[in-house]
Amino acid sequence: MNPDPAGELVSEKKKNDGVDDENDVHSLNDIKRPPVYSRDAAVSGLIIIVPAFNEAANLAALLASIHSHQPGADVVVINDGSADATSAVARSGGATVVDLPFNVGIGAAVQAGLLFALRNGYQIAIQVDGDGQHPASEIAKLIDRLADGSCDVAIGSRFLEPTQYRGSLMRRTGIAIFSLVNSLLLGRRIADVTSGFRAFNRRAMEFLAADYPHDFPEPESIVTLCRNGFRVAEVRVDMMPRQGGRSSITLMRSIYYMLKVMIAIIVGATRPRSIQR
Amino acid sequence: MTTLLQGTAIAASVLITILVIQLIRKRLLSEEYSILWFVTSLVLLLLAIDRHFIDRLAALIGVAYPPSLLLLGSIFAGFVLAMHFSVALSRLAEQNKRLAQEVALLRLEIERITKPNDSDGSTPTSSAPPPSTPTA
Repeated sequence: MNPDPAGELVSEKKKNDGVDDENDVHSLNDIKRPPVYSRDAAVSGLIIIVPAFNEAANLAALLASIHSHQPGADVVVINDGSADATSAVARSGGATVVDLPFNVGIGAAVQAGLLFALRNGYQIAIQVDGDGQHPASEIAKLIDRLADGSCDVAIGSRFLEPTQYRGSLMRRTGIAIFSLVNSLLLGRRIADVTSGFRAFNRRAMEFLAADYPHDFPEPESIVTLCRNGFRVAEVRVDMMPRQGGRSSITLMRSIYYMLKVMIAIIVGATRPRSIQR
Repeated sequence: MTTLLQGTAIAASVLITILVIQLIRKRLLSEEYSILWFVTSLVLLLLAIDRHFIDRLAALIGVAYPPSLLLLGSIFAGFVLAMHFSVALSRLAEQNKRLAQEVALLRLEIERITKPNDSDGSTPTSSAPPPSTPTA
């Protein structure tokens, strides 16, 4: 663990304890210092980032499930320019909502969540997709994997050991190809490179907040994380099929996805490392 | 006949040059592009005035059929221009994304500051989208 950001937060908490929280949030002089919104979460430092694009149908159940499994965690829903009631559903579900002014893509939405988490002093961020694929009951597994300090990013993997996951043949083929390319580039196997069910520590959050792919970010970000010395671990989790709504991935988009991610991964691997260690 | 053709070419080139200057004057063309288009219009003018310029250039490089050099030149220029625009667009898209993220986060901050009771993230807030009253 990098001791620096942790130290920052400790001093921040002390400051907050000394001062009245109400004034703290509203005084204009203190805007530079990120306000800590929830005392519970400030202690555990855990935030759950839910990127959501037209997920009004799934969000209520997902948020309820998250609150019952992780009552101490703050939840921020990044509404990626939805046309439906995503924002309202998220608010009534008790989440903080960041409304992007228009659709900017899942990568940019997750990045907005990471920026929010960083500026508000959270120590661990978990990405849980808004479509209900990622069961809240599995969040604890990711946290546990991060908590012992042995990794910077924990990925919830469907394929680490046989799980219940049964995607379409095409989707599984695509995932297998990405895995192969990633393995070749990194010299190690990541079983589920497309999984959006991930936990980040603060150092990884800082890195990704500065540079995160626009759309279909998962396989590419694993390459950049590994190449910059971040320790990426996989945790076996069960995932569910979509609970409602529609996937954003259609045939044409799949083809675009394949090409875009391939180019991004392979060309990205020739980029100089942005962190020298 | 040749003089009429040349006269037309010169007139067209002059018109393009005037158009570019007008666009720059009205600030419809930003600095970096103004130079590009200004140079392009001057090259066109040169080619129109000196009919044998392209022949001499082709002979110098060793191109047997001078018009093909003209074609090659314009295709290359178009290619570089398109590439340049792609780069500019990518940069704008990245900046656009950053702005969208900042706007969204700032909107949330303002919402929290103007509605003190909602400062605790775990409290359900009203389901209405943020009000856009100018008084706030």
